[in-house]
Amino acid sequence: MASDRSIRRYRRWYASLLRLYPRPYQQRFGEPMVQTFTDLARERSDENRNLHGFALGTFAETAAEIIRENMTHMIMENRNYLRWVLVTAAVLLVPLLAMVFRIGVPDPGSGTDGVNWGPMDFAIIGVLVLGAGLLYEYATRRATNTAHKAAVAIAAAAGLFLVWANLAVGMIDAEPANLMYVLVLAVALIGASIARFEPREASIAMFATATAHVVVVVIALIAGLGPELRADAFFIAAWVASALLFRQASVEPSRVS
Amino acid sequence: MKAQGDAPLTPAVLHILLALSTEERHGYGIMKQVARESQGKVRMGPGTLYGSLGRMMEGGLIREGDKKVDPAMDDERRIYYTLTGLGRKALDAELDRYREVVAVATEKRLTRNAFADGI
Repeated sequence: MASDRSIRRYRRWYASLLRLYPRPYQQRFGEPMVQTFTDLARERSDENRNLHGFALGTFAETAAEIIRENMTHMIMENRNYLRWVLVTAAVLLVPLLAMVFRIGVPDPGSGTDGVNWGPMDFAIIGVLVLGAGLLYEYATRRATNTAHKAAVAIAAAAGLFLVWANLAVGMIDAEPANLMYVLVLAVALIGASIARFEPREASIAMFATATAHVVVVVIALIAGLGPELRADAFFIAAWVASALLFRQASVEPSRVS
Repeated sequence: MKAQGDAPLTPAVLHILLALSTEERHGYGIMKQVARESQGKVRMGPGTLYGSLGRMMEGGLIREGDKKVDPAMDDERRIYYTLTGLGRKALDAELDRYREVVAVATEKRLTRNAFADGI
């Protein structure tokens, strides 16, 4: 009788311990694990062996597995985001190695013959690359077709390189005029946020971004600010390509069905 | 755990496959069978057992069968686990690997006594 009470008490505690497993695991194995624990406890009890030592040992063994499962779960859940941390590290490694080994990659921004990045440069580019990557993962989390993913990838890459180009050399010769490109990025980001990255609405947002970019170029031309027309054409083409892909993504599911 | 052709198996996975090779079993049944077949040398707790079962199911080596009552135990219904075709193949490949190792050892006369004699 006393051992029955002990088994019931340990069973209750063991069930509580299992709540520390990741929820999907707990839902799948929680019940059979408690059953198996109870079977083992009964076996011990029937053989008049030490129940407390068994319970302590099993709790410790299960706790170790809980840590392992939670770590695996965390890595699997965040592996897409972790991938971008690695990509960012790889991107930053290129200028770092160029500086360490004095590889003569011309860097127009620094006015020297080689790469000469300061801590702030690494920080800014790191934030930009990681930000673009995380934005891509967030925006494509519900994407079901390649066109949708490609549209987000092109838009994120265009945004990243637009900021990078402006920070490095400037898209327009006159320095404060470069701030006009903030407007282009604002249209892209606010438009995509309002659209919640849904293909049809995001397509409109990207066309609006392309239009905003054209407006900036026209203003720069009228004001005689000397815009980099080839670079602008590249970015406008990227916004339009993204818009067209978003539009294609919006019709693809109906084709499938 | 992805099914990886004839990649070596961990001791826990090998023993679970062996335990399920003759009939489907529930968790406690697997533990008892593993302990019996290894003469008590391999003992795993519920954490290790169900962690391995989860990874084996993910790898397609075993699958969950019906939930039913074990007539030899109480009237609680238990989930039974069954070996799949891929699981059987993985077990056969592992046993072949063991046989090859034993054959090489035999050929080299590497017996327990040979080690003791410093041969």
